[in-house]
Amino acid sequence: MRGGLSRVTAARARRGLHADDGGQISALAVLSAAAFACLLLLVINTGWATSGKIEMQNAADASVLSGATWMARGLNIISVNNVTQVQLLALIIVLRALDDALPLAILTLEIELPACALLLWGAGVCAAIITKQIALLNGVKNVIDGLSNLYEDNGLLWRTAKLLGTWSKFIAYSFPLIGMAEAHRIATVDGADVGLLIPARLPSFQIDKPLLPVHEGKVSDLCARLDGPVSDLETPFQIGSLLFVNSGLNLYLHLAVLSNKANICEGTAKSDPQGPLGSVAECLAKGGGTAYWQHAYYDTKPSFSMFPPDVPDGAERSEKVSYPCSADIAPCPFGLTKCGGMSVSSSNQQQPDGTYKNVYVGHVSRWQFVYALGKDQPPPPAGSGPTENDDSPHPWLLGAEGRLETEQIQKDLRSMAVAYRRREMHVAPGYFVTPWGAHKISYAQARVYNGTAFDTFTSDWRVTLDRTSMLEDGTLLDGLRFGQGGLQQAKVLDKVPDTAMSKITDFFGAIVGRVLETLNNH
Amino acid sequence: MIEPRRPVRLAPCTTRGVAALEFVLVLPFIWIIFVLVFNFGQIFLERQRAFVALRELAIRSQGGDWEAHATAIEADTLAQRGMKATYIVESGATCPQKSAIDEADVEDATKAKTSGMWRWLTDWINSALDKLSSTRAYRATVTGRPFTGGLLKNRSYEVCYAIDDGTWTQEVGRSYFGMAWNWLKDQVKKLF
Repeated sequence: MRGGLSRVTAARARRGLHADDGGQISALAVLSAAAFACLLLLVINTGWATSGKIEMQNAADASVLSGATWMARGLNIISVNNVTQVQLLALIIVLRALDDALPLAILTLEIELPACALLLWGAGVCAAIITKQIALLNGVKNVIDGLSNLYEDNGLLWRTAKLLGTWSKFIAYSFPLIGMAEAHRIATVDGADVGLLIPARLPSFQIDKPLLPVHEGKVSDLCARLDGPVSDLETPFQIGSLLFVNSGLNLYLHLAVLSNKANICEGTAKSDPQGPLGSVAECLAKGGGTAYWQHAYYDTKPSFSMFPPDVPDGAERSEKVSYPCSADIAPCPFGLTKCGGMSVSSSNQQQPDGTYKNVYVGHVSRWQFVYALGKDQPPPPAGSGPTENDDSPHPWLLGAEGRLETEQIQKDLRSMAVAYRRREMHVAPGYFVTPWGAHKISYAQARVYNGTAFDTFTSDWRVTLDRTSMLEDGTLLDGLRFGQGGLQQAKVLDKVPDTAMSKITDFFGAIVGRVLETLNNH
Repeated sequence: MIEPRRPVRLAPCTTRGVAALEFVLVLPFIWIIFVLVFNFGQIFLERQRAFVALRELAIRSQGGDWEAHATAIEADTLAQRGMKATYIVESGATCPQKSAIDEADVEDATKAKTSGMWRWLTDWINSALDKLSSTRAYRATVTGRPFTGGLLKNRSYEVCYAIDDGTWTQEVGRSYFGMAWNWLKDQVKKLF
């Protein structure tokens, strides 16, 4: 009976629970409040996560820009070094030319001096001027003689030029490594735990080759054989006094040539290589010879700093490639002002779609050492450049060894950085952080470019962010697969059959693809 | 005699209009949620814009005169959102880490991880890099448009972007003579 009553009571209670909706809202409210609290925390944590992602992307950007900046610095310093080498060699030429030419000029003036007496009027003034000039030139000659240890064989200038080549070598090897350290430092400052810079050449790294895409050139890369018309005597220094001395000297050398007192084979004054002294080689063999300079003349894409903002920058400006001593170099028109520095011209050109657009072209000139021989030096064989030996100054030129194509060089000038952070601000981390922790990873890519001329004689290397491509296009894997990287150099990979190697790289490629997918959806 | 208690009869209630009333009552909350969603998006957008502005400023100035580019940057990246910025550019790399754990904790963690010779070496490298490079911290205080709905106060964003951005690019057309020497002198000066 008792048991039957309790069953009835329980049944009534159940009916009552279903029949009575009192307190229903309270239960719903509690559940909703909990859900709302979770939602709120989720929103806050999503905010922190998004904020962290933004910070990591900024850290990756700053990291890659800072690291690549050291690559650009390296190229800028190498460019300055190369140009300074040219200038030092040119200075040797100037001083040697003065040493050769001053006695001739003085001799010419001394011949002219008695001729003043033949003048009907102003003979005294003429004699005084010429005497003054002789005294001036004698003074210059004494100075030049005193500087002989500068321009003599293996003199101070020559050794300094060599030292600059060594300095460039140090830069090429060390600056990318400094860039890697800097990328890490900047990444940590911008909130990451780790910043890893990967220059494009890193996968194919060889211990005896620099990471910077440059290679050691030859002294002839500083020079070019002059086979075009000879311009006036020009100086690589746009310094008034020296220019004045050279201009005056040029006049004297004209006189010397006209009076047949000088054997000037080529370069200075208005010499005539095919004249009485025969060809240049014959002339040089007869004891003539001096120095000259040639302008390198480039047509470039617009320069960043000199053009209206609507002119696109970036890769388009680096399309035109001009290497030193290449066929692109044409003699400079007469006169310094036309060639000095940089000039800009524009023309209204019709575009394929029929519209007209102003096309800007920058003309950049730089001074380039040609070569010169002293009277006591043997002439060079026909068709050859200056004598090459290990004791000569060497410039460092663009392009890693064996990777000299423009497209390849541009690829080698890219860098990628990965910024990683493990920690993150969270509300209720116990509920919202996965067991494997909070990880944020971002990557960015930058490229080094030259807005003026694509060579290591123009110190206009800069850095900009680039669309990421090193992972996507397989640059990193190609280094392992095709490059002569550290592993291959250590003969480790030689023992792996090609088919197995292919499978391995494909496997890693799939992993990288998966990582990329994750990163992009992160 | 006590009258039997008459059952209390409430006035017949109607549920007409209840839904409308609930809807009206809920509307402000929906409004608040909508407004907050909009504000949330606006905050992130504006903060990201502020970072983009700083990044562009760093890239364009390349370690040079940043003030010359500030106006153009504002026109290119901020003006479309009605944003204005005040910039401060300082030498050296110091930026607070906003969404990480506290800076003090970071410092402690770093100290714990590195010690002895390794820490001395990394400190020395960082110090040398700081002196040798052209590291600058670009800071900006950016204000955006008033928030939709007026629920949140108009706030300003303080963003920081540390970068080593001086490429030592030489001016086009400038004489190269003496550049290497001047550079060397500058670097030696920095070290002392």
